[in-house]
Amino acid sequence: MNDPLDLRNLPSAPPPADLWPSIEAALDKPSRRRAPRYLSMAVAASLVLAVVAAQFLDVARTPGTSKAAANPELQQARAASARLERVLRAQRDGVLDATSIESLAWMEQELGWLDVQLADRPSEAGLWRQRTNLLAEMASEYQRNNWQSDLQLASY
Amino acid sequence: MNKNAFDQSLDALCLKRLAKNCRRTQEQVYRSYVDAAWRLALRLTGCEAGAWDAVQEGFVRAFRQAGKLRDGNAFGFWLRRIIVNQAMDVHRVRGRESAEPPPESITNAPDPAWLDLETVLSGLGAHDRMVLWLHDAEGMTHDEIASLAGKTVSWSKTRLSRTRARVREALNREPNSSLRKVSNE
Repeated sequence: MNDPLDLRNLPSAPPPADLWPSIEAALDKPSRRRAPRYLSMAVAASLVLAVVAAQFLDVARTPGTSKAAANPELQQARAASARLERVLRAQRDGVLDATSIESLAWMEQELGWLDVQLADRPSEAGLWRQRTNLLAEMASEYQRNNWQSDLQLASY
Repeated sequence: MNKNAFDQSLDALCLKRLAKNCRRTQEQVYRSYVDAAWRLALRLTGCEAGAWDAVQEGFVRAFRQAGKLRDGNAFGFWLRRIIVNQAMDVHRVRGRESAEPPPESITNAPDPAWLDLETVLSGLGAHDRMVLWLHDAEGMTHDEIASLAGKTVSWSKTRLSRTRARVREALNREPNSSLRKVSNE
């Protein structure tokens, strides 16, 4: 019973005839809609980096007094997140396959949202855990691709 | 249209031309996939304006990034993912999960039973409609849907079964529904 509602046969109106000209026009100019999103993600990412740096400095200067020092789980999650960031920085230049491009784009977007939330609540361990899991997933996706690229290159 | 148009693949030459931004190739590729892309976007966004945005942005993004793609067989699958992401972006921009009921019918079917189903679909939340449509109409697996939505397989399964139940229940309330028997199977 895969399709009890018969959705496959539900008729739809055809695509509008003037859709292609609008795509052509959009292809002829630089992407304006995307820019603000990447810009806001970059701003959010730099903001969170600043927050993380400030927290680390805080921890280093006054051990035992900050929330992070009082919460080893939070400290661990932040350290793991920073480690994974370093790994990802090295991986981001690789060649990707179709599935990975989209799923990584999706994950980058999710990361942006998490960073925005973290900018508001930098001491929330749950958010840091989510961030670490997401970064780990991204790193393994990049790793999988690099492994496939290496294999492909080796076969030539 | 039983075979999904997204299953078509591109040959290596076509992919190379896309990477070089060849406008004629872009148009040919657009013509091959637009019916499927439009139908998908229309169903996920629930309105023509949203579908327009999703399809336009989807093709623009796919053509701009075609140079990164190394396997032409994956183009359709990739394009579908982009369109789904764009359609879900439309909902995010709207700032809530449920789409506005479409101001006009997005079907061209005169059969009132289809109109009932259409009404019920347009009343679903964006994620419910996405899971239902991708699984039951596009034939995607729970694994694929989960990876696309960044969720777990059990999230997709639960959502699908709950949504199907809600659709069946709603169809049973609709006066014209000749789909009642089918939906209760």
